[in-house]
Amino acid sequence: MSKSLTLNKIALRNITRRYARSLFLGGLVALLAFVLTGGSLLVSSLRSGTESMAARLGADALIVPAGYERSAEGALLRGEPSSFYLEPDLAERLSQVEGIAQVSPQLFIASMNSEHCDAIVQFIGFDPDTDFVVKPWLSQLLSGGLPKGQIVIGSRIDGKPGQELNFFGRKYTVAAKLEETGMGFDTSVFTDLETSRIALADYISFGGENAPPDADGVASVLTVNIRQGYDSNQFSRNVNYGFRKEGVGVVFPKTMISNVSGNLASLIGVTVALMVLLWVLAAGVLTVLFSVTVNERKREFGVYRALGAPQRYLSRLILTESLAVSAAGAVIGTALITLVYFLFSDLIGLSIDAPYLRPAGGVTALVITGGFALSLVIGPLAAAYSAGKIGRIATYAIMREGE
Amino acid sequence: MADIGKNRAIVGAAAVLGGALVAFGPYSLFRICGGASHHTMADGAVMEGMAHSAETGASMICKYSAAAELGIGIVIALLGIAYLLFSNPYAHLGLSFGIGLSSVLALLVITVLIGVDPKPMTCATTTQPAIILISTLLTAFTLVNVVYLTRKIKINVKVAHA
Amino acid sequence: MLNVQNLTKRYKRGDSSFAALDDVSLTLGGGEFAVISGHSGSGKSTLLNIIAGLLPADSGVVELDGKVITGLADNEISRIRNGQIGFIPQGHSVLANLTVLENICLPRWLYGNADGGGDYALSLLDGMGAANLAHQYPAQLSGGELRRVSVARALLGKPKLIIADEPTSDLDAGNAAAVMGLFAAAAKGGAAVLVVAHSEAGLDGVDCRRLQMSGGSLV
Repeated sequence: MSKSLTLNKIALRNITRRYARSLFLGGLVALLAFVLTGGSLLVSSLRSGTESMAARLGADALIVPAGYERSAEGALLRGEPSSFYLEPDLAERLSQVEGIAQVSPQLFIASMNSEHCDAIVQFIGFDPDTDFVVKPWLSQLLSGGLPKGQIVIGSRIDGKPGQELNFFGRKYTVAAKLEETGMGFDTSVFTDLETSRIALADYISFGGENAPPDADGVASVLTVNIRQGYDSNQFSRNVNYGFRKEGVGVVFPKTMISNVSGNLASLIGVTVALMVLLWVLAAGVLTVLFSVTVNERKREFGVYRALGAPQRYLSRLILTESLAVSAAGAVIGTALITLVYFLFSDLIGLSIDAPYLRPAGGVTALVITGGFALSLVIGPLAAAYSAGKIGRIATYAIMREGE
Repeated sequence: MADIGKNRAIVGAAAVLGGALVAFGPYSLFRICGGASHHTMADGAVMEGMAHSAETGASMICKYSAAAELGIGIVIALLGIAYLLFSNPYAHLGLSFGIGLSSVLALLVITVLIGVDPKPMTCATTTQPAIILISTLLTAFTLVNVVYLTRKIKINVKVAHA
Repeated sequence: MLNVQNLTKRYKRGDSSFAALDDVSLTLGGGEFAVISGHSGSGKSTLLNIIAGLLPADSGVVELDGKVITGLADNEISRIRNGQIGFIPQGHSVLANLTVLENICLPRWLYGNADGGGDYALSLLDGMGAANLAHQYPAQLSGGELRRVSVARALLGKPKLIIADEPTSDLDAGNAAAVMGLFAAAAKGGAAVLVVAHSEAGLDGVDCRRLQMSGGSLV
């Protein structure tokens, strides 16, 4: 005996018996879901990375040796390890420049590609007494502060709290591991200034590139908070002019951030515009496709009319078929891009020349759901026009056979 | 029986392609050895291989994984070729199980059974995700195929006895 | 059973219009079998489609079992067509994606009736010598077999009125006779049967009322 065929079962039967057509329509929706969701995930990850960066670059200005401005930016934004140094007495004199409210030295050392080090990282030493950049968010991790001689490692470094890691031939205990930041900190190691100078001495002894003669009193960067109301351009002139013989440069993190944000805003704008265009195009193509296939099937729908199906039955049949195909495509496309996004997250972050951070779980879920929903509705929306017309078309089709 | 012909071509081709990617991908498209991502280069120097300490010997893990995937991938591809050659639906069902289980093995090898070097080495950021993706897709695909073949066999039996 | 009064239908053709049906009246009682013939364009199909409720008339009335069915809303007339009229449209009308048995039971499923009358459907098929086709798809059937399926589908609901538009037009003599025989049997069972046929195929020895249409009128 035949089990009763509800409208939904008939719709499913129509889809599976004409699988080439269904595959094509579903494939189109899957592609749309893939691109929409993927684009949205990329945009939200870039936004998240930029927000993370803005939260962590707490200084108004960074004073670096002349010519190392880009290296400093690279270290902070992209985790490109560098080694560069200001002479001790220079660092001392720079801290007296007019306009400074707070100043704190940091030491950068790039670890080595050899058996002396467990990983390629940026070593960053900060002064626990004067620092105002690293300490605020480090204290969220270690309430008692960083124990002397121990290190805090970035999220991408392979290690756990309590483990010992080898840098420059010396073992350091890991006190804590940072959460992902989407910037250079993920491949950085933080320690106090004194410990970092010991590491620098080891670096010098191994013949590290660009090393100073010795480690005493050396700093790579002076992090500066400019006095409230003092013009930052004037401050920059003070530094550049006052130390023109020695050669120093000033980097403004806020400019760095706004450059990145500015580029990002353009990128986001273009991406969103393209996604909207893609959705509209897909809707147009699908509308035409549904119209063509419904027209092809008008005789079939006419038979339903002849058997007593009301017009709204046909409309519901068409909408159900389009929803089912759309749903299958949306599920496949969204699932695929979600898999790719999570699996290749590290590769994407390392390849992109901008702060990249997976947003919080809730945001990610919302983005994925949104991409899925927008792809799901496109089928029924595109079929709506044909579903509205079908009653009349079908009736005439069944009447005009053979004429 | 055009359906069987189409099924044979699609599943067989997918298995051959998937198997080839699993086998040879780690040596070509998504190599295990490219060193770390170039963005952790120091002063633009290119890194040839992973920095490791003598005690860990970590750089061998990826090589073992890749060797195992080579074997598994070839098996998958051969099962795919067999799928193309046979037309019997029962044979197809058995071969599908073989392909699916081998894909699961490929997934387990690259994740828990052997694994890869730690991040940010290339085999962790590129090879492992690629193999996970391919083997997951292959597994899902063969699962759908098993369901499809089972239903087809049931229907054919029903019609034959009607 | 069926009472058609003064039915008129005009179509526009360019600047002018022509009468596809011109004041047609017709009465058919239960158990009666009537065959309308006439050449192409005489209005036969238009008459059937209006009686079936697929096409609105410009004027006139159609009554089925005492109830006026012209001018009803689509939902109402569709339900009447489903439950009380067995309509066999012109040409092939078997759905390709459903099996033979499912095709026959479909009218009952359209309004959510879980019981598709499968037993009765099988007995109808059996009566036509086609029980072995129950689980086949239409693509595997011949023209004659397909036509018998559409007749079985029309008979499933034991309708009061059966209307068929050119049911034998593409059948050989043997199949045509078989189909006309089914209609005659349905009429004997109490249904009013109205068939449009432009040829004599299958009508030898069939007891039926012969009507002729020409230029939109019954002559």
